[in-house]
Amino acid sequence: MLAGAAAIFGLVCALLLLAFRRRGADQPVSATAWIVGGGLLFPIATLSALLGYGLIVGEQLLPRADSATLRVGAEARRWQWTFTQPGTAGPIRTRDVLHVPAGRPIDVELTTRDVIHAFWVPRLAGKMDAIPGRPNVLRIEAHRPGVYHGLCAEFCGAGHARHGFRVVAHDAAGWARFQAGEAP
Amino acid sequence: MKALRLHRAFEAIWGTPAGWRGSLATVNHSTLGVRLMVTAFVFFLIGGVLAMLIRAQLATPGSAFVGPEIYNQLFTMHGSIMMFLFAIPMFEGFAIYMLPKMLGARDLAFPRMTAYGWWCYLFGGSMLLVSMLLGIAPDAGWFLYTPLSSKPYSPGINSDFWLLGITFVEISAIVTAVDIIVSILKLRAPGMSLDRMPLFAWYMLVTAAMMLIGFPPLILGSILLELERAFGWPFFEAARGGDSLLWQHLFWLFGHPEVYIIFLPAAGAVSTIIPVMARTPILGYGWIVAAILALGFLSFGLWVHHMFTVGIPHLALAFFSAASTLVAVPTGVQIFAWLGTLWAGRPQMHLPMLYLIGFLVTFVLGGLTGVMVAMVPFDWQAHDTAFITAHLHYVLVGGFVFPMLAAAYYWLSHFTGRRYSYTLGKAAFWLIFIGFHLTFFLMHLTGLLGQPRRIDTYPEGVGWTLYNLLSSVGAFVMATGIALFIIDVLLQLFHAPRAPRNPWRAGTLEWAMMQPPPSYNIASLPQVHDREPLETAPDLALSLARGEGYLALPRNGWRETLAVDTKSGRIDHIVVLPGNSLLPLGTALVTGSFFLLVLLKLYPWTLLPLAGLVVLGWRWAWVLGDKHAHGELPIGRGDHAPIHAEVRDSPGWWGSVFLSIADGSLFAALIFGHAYLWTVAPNWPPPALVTASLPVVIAGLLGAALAARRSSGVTVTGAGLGLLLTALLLTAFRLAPSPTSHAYGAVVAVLLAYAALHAALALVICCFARARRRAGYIAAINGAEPRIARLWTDYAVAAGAIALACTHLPALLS
Amino acid sequence: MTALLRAAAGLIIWAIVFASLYALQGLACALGWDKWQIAEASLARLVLLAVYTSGIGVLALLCWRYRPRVSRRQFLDRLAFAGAAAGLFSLIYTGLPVVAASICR
Repeated sequence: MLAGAAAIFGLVCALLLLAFRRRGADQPVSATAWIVGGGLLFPIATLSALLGYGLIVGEQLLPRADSATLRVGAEARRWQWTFTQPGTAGPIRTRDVLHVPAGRPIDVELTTRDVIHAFWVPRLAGKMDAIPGRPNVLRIEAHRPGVYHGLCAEFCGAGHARHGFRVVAHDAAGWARFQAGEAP
Repeated sequence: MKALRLHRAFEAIWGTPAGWRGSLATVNHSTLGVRLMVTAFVFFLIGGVLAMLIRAQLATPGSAFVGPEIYNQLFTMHGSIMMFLFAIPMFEGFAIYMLPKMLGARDLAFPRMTAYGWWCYLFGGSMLLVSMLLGIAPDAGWFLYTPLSSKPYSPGINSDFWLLGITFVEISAIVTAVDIIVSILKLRAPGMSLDRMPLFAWYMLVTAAMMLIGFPPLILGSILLELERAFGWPFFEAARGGDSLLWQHLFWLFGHPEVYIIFLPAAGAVSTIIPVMARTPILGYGWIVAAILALGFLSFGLWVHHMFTVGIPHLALAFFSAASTLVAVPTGVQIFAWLGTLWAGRPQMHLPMLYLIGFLVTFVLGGLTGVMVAMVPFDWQAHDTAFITAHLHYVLVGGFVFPMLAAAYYWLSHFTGRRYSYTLGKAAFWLIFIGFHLTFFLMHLTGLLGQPRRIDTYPEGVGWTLYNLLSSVGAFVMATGIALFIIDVLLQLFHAPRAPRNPWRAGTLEWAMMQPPPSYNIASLPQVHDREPLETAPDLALSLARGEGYLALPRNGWRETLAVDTKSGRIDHIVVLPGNSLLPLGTALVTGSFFLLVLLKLYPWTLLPLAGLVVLGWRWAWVLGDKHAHGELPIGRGDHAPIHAEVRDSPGWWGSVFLSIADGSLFAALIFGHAYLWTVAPNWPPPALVTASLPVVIAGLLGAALAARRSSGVTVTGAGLGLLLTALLLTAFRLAPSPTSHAYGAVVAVLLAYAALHAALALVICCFARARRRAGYIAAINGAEPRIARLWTDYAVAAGAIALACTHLPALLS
Repeated sequence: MTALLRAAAGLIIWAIVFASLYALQGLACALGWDKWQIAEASLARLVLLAVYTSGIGVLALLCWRYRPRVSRRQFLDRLAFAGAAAGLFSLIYTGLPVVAASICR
């Protein structure tokens, strides 16, 4: 997309530059060639291809039923995140830290106690809003164990800039310890 | 010296008397256009200072320059001012000043409305400024998302300032849009058929039509949110059946077309300037008109792309993703028409052209990032990050500020009558251009590195520090450029030598007059034969000044201009425009006092200004017209035409038609809100529906039928309206559930109030028409007034019937 | 005025069908039509496809009525055809996702 955009931008700049260089060339300019060629056919062809690709990727990113997924709840409030998930001995609640197993898709169910917030871990997935009265589900996946930073992407008032959290992705052993309720 | 004699005679009719009283009463479009532009520019500078403060805060990590409370006010006000108080009024002022001149008319169709619009804008804008000075400015973002902006999370008066101030300014935008549309469709020089219209008029026609459809949803949203904040009617509160997404829909239903509403007038200026700079006619006039039309419609199909992350099903996202990419096609048509025009001609590198190159480069980049964010998966990452901030500034500064700066230099001699100097403007351009790209190009990168929007601070060591610092440096470079531009303009205003007439040798009619233009624009109206009248008749200005066109003889002290048949440009009638008056100022003051009383929560007192508005509105329409017929009057060149009071499709009639379209857009948005809440909002169905009552419905519909009958007299129509009104009020006060209990009750109350208000309004209008006929006014007997009364009666009947059906049917059926 | 209405007719129809598709999508999900399978497709998809194709049909008809002819060389006639063609293409393009995209997810 970046290369394509750069190429189109280069083309427009070149045409603009040449228009000034060309002065005095006397062939008449055809409205149809410029407008149909440059203004209609060219963008339609490029955009159709791009749109088709974008929609296919979008479909693939949708959360689908899958036995391997883990479902966790994320409740946002000003200015805190509370995560709930099943553990070996009953549900585990954590504050501002979400523990997940690496290499497994996670469905995060987003809810809010007050205003609209948005859950975003840039390195794990796109973002999704938490909206009053409308639970949303976002699928994330951490391919490798580690700590990932997350933040609230929707403006939520005075504490918005500090409304962040961490996602800790565990390897198999670490995940088993977390589920058993041991502090990681 | 016939020309001088004519000049004195017309100046006496059209001029503004000296002194403060004249300044308050003037309705002249040139004066008001300049006032709007100057006011908008002042707001631009204020918004710019806010931007500097934002950049100062973000220049370093962990900055303690301002706290989050102040910072939130800063970016909220920056966005609101630039959108509502700078961009829209700026192009409105430009169109108000320029359109009549380009179309070969002496003023706009509704001069007093023009003045009222400016006063409303001034007062509404001042309200927001006052809130800022008091430190209680709106702070919930320029989009004011609920529930952040609702009472529980914004208990202060901040958000009320936004809702009331902006609605006040929007009123001005709506009346200006009606003014512009009717002027373009009717008030042109004879012979100027639609296909001979300057492209700028096409751009403004589509822009104004978009304003009529696009602004009412926001006005409705603001009314609903203010009702929720003031009285606890839960339109947007999930716990009681409301939905915060309804606000987002209403806001972006306005907000996305808004971007194109801002871009199109600027593109109109580009399409006017480029052919002159290239010394050749524009390439593909018809293609451009088709592209503008398509853009006008398609831009209404994009609003959900601001909501890609709210959890809407993929199919809906796909519709709007497709429409968002498609809108690039008509934009591409225009860009290639401009490039082709440059190729076809011999472009000259004058100062306006330099700014236009800045526009093309910046805007194309903004368009390309726009296509990127139209891709749903990309947007899920980029949404609400600095990448979007960068994109929207490329589109708006590239698509509006650069073309307007080009336009400023292109038309400066028209305003001042003076020639411009070259060097300072060039230096200003490079400072603005380099400063802009330094600031905003880097924001793409910080956005991709994960910096969200609207944060007042960020930690060190996440890789954003250097980029942010450079962005801030760029912003200050750009500000220096703007300061240089101001100095340049002031210098030319006072020191430059006189310019020759039509310095660019352009072909459009605005150059066929003295510069600066006299109050009446042209001493006589030309007969137009092609798109560039000055190309074929370079001496047109002189011949018009000598009175060789139409309406060259001042008579009765009338302000006369011609109305034509919309399509062919054939002469239709003479329009006698109203003169200077204090009514616009008075009406704006009363309107303002209404908003002020709501702001201060003195609700019972608001009845006073409402009654005042009825009285002033009555007076507004009453003072015009004559009690005896004039018949066909000579208009010069051997032609005759009646005056507008004696024809049935006068500007007043068309003004009513377009105003009712805007009104219909608001009603449609309300019905949409009702249906939307009913189908998708959480916590439905409501605890209680309206208690259906067949007698009330039948009585209401009977009243509607009586009022709708063409053959019935005023008394029967009035009785019908009265019956309809009674049925609506009965439903509201006796049968409907409390508006605070559930969003259903709240929506029903607003529906009924809307219909009742229109029934009452139609009653007043019918009484007015009857009183005018009794008094013997020609316009009420042979003219458009009965037709206008009929239009508003029919509208009230339709609204009343729909409101009754929406409220009673669900209960009757269940 | 009617000449201008004709010029906008194709795009007005596009706007109506586009809005109906979006509204029907919301309604279909609210009423659970995506779960009723008829042959290969869900009821929701069939309804949307019906609206989509009939919209295309209406616009194609409009294009045919406004087609360029020798007797219609005027600017506004050509503009009416351009508007109808733009409406037709816009509908085909923006409505195409009804064929495959997930309706309620």
